[in-house]
Amino acid sequence: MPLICIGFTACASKQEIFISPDVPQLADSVFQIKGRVSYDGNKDYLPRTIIDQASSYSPLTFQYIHATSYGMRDMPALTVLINPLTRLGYPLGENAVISVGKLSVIMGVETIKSYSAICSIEITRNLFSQGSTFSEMRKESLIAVRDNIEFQLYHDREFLTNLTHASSGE
Amino acid sequence: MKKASATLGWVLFGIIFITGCATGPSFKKVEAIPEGVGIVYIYRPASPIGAGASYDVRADGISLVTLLSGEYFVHYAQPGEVEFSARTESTSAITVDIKAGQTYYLKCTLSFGITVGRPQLVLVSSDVGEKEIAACNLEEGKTAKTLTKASPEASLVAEGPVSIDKDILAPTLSSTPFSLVNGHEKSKITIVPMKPTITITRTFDVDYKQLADFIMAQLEKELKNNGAKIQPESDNSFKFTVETVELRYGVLYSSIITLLVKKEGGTWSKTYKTEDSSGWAMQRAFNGAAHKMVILILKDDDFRRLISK
Repeated sequence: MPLICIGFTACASKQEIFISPDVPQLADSVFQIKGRVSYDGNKDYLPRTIIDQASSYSPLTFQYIHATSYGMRDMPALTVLINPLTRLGYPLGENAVISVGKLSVIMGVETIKSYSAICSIEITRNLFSQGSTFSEMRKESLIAVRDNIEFQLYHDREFLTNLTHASSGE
Repeated sequence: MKKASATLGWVLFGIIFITGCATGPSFKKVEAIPEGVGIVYIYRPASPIGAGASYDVRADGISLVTLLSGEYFVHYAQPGEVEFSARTESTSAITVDIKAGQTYYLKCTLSFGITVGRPQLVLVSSDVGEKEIAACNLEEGKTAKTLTKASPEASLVAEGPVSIDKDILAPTLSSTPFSLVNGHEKSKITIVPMKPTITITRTFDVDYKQLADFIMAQLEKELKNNGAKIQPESDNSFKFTVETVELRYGVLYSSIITLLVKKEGGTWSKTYKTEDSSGWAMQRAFNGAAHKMVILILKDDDFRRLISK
């Protein structure tokens, strides 16, 4: 039985995820802030904390940008060919994705504060499992970046709420 | 033992020397990127491993090109997220967020698999891409279509002018000022598969914004000729949004367009649907449906009543 378990473990591709900064995550972290949103990407990756108020005047602008880079490493072909462990699930190569996101809070033309996060995901491929595709890894990493920035905003909610009040002259 | 060695020798010979031939022109960089699109160089560096094997590279599920070892292909992509993929016994997929005016290098390789080589697609930096693609030759002939305006054979673009019978509108149409607004903020190509009713399955790309623009421009011209007061901006505006485009092939090519016209403030909205067919080409059926849409809206009593108030 342990041998079977080891065999199955060897066949599965391995995935590692790393996210920074380390922000305490809370189950109940509902907080939203309104302003103009400057972002032209997929809305799924935009932190849900910020609500676009494009139709009405707001001195606060939230500018969000993100980028993803990819990396791939293959074992040398000859090693794969002659290594008998390849048939047992020895790694054929690795895929990696690194996504970064940055949310800038801008009042007028001045950047008041920025929040950024970085997420890296690595998978190991073998003969029996390819693991997630780069598309899936990108999506997962960008959502992790979004969530991390949402938590950062939540922890900074007092400052942001004051900023909203100050900008609206309350 | 001797026999086993000989077999292994032939296998290695096959792997190393049975190669596909990349015979097209040498790499040449596109000098000027067309306006409103990004360029993706899709290339497969020459390698003896799996050189005889080829696979289709797809963009959002549509086949773009079949690449052999040492070949490259230029894809003009609309801005936005595009998923490039390739499949043999496993799938490799990578999403690229295309920006207009930018250049991207998509490297395609083949790694080991159980029954057949597995495609691997990865986006590389310009430095790496430029260096590696320099040794590749342009893929010729086997390719499918690109999904951009640079390939009109795959794109359906509404063309005019629309011929309007004189008796459709009253000679003079007095109206309060109003404006026509496109409900699509940005151009984004939408892939529309042709639904087969016999055997053929193909796909076309349609730019919904362009289609709405075309219909609005034809309407504006005709309404203005008949005395309507159309302004670029007005509180009294009508928003045009293409909801769906359906393409079918049976005995004839058929195109069905559904368009939503919504009055600012949400006090009125109406969905219009037109269909046209052609025995010659999908472009004709598509044009016909777009032209019929213009005429349908012009003839619609509800729309006329609203703009005549």
